[in-house]
Amino acid sequence: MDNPFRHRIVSDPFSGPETTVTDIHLDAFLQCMHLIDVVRRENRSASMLIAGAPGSGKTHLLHRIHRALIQSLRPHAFIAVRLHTSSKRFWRHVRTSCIDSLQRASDSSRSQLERLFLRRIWQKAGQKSVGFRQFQQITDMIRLESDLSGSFVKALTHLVRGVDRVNVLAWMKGHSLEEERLEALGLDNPSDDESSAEDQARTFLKELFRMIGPGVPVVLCFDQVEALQRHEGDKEGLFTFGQAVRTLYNECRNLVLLSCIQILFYGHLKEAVCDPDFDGLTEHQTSLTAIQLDQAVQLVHLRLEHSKEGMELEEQLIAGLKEKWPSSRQTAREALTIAAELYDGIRTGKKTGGSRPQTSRSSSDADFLQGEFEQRLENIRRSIHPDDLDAVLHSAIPVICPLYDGSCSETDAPSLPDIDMMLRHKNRSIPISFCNQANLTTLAARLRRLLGLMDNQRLQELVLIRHPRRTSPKGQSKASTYLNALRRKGAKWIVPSEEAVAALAALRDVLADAQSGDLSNGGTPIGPKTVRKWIQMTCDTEVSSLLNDILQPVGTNAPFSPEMEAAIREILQETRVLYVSELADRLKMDAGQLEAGIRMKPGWVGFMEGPPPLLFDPVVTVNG
Amino acid sequence: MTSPDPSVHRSPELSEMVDKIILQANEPVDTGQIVMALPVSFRKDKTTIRSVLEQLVHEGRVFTWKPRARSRARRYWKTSDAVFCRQLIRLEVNAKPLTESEILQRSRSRLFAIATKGIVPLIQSALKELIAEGSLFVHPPRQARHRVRYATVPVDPAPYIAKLRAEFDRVVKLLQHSGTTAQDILRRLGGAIPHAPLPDEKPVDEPPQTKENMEIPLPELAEALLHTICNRIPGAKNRVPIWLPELRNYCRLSKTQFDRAVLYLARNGKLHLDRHTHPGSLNEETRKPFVQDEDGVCYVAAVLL
Repeated sequence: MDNPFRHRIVSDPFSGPETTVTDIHLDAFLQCMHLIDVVRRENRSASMLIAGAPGSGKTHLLHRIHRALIQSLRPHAFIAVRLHTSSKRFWRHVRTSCIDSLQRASDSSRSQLERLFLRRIWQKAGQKSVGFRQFQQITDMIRLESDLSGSFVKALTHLVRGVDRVNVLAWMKGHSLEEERLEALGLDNPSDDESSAEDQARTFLKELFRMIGPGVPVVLCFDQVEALQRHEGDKEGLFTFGQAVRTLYNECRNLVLLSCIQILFYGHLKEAVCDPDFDGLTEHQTSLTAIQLDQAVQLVHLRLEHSKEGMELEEQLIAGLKEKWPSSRQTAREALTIAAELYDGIRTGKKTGGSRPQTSRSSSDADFLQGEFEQRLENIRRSIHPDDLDAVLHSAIPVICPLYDGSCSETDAPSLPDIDMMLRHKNRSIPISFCNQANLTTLAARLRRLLGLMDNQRLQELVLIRHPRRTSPKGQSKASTYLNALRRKGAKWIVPSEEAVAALAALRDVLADAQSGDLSNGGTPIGPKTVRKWIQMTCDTEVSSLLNDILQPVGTNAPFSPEMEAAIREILQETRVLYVSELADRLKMDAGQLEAGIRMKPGWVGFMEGPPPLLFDPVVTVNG
Repeated sequence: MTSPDPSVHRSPELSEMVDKIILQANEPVDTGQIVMALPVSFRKDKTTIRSVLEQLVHEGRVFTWKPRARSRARRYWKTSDAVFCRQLIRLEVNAKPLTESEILQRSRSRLFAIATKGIVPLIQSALKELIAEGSLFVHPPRQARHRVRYATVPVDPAPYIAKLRAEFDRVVKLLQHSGTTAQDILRRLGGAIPHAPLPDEKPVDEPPQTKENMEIPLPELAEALLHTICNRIPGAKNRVPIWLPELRNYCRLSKTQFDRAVLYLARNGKLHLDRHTHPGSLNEETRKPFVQDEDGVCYVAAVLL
């Protein structure tokens, strides 16, 4: 039988537990609901900072607000943003998270986004059935009224009509779409100027909130704010967060901005965020304190009642809880930990000792973290999409890379266009550009600009990264021409394995949870310091190989394993001459990576510049 | 209130179920609504339910609310109208000081259709209670056409003493060659006004770190600390987190005095303290700004209860 108290961490406000003790944090709940009312009535945004110890119920409070909003049957939007991102792509991350939340189904089969758009249409039409012509007229009216772009309205129309939802949502998230898809959907190709990507995301968000309409509250919840810190004492992410929340607070008229932080983090936040931004962030503040024994008893009762099993143990459990309840008050999570232990003890007939809550560590921290990592890796492997590469690398590399190599760190140097990240490693600057565009025209334009940048800014050791599932620039295409030119100038083209990207994302996820107090082993919170140490100790091979590729200068690391070299030699001896793309097909690897590897170690096979590049067995040439 | 009729048979389950429905309701509900919300197996006639409700009211588990209109039924909820009204007022005045009519205007729609005649006395008595218990402060009008406002933070005296200040400056200027300094004038003024702090004296809530101060009894130190919290941390009475290193900077107390005063307040139920989640990551230096108890537990923040 499953222990009903085992589930102690609410990680997602959309899917928390069914049971809620009304009394716990009632003040905070009422205050949030009041703010929602204020936004609805007064047509202005409001903000609130919710602070609390780990396990005090911050995310549960958000879940409760979400449920109350659904039950109220009044129009609203509910968005949850987990901030495990980098300060440099803050707005893009919020944009993606907003669309992710809004595409979730509300209480009907339609997503929040569709319902909100249709609501505006019906509001204008005054009736439920709307003809196509009238629909178009109304969308035009809404567009003018709310100052929306043509492409945005078109994308919404596609969504409600069920046209190519996957690509429309990808466009809304700001991902790159192939040329023919854009043409078929009639959507604009967003400008690929990297410097304006953040501005574009901000403008899109404001447009989205305007579309939702005046008087319809958009509850925008920021969770895991702590994860914006790349390392202890890092302030840049928090500063950006403060500025962003103030911008939203000042420039939008229907937002309820709820930011959740650990109480331990309150001082850091206050220090990192400038005063006017802190005021915008904390129009209201509340602190979630520990719960009282009678509330813990109610919690136990509700959990048992909901599980419909073990009700006969309630008296014993409550007696045990009263006996073990320490004089100092506990958080809801700590109460559940005590109850879980008692439940197991009663079921197995063992007595749990001590008057203070015992934190049963079922396994060592290292085993626990390995288990967590593997579980997340499995989930991420199933759900990760090539479009997610930029977000994963942007948030993970600055945090994970210094743990693998202490001499590496991200520099906050003034950003150059199309350079997503600048790493510093042993007195070398390593500019990194994510060339992950699905649209090859956009990719070619970016590569062309990077080529210019290498000449003008004398950039050295440029690293270009692309997802393995994206089409590689091949043959006579412009993208391929520019890529070859970049490689000749010393740029490194890296196509990481899917496994490495997923592992990087999983490591970042575990660390982000530890930073925000959402990681506990048998009720004992595991801090970021422990997780950082564990990452250093375990050294996942896929991740370290990718980071090694990024950090090592061109030509210093062995491009292929001995087995791979033997396989290439064998094929060349057999065929004598063949195209790089043919060899890549036979070896089932990326042609670009193969070409880069061969270039790294000149002379061991014959190589002729293309296009298309050609390989031959050097023995043949030597012997004539 | 009439006492419940003991002749009516009621099962404890029915009582629990009715109690639960009321607890879960987002607003006061009448007997008819409760009957509708009951599972079919528990459904009883209105008289039985009313009797259960009277029992619950008698036990203090639910509270009666005035009907929406005179012709409508009496309503029941988990909080009494007075307590709910107090919560509402505190929420409303949290952002900025408001007059009674502004409070009335803003609370009207949130008081679940209580008749206007009923709202005014309710708000007036809630205001009186909140002021008496020190949760709300009166901000007297500065001009005749202004009205009294209410807020959760104490009034800033600066605007009220603007004229006094001008007069003081005038007297100082007048007597500048008469062998009397500004401090002499203040001292004379201090003699006229009891408890007025003189320039060379420290404010009451920030005792200096002197030998005499070390001898101040703990309850008095704690009281002074509470005063500092209320003055320096706006909204502290509304559960705004108090970052202990920041509060320490506001008080001129030694580390031991400050730590003892904070722990005293916590043990007397005035403060809730939040522990450091990863104390192992602290060293002697980084631990210093926080509060430590006798067992070495490190506290980082507090909330006024």
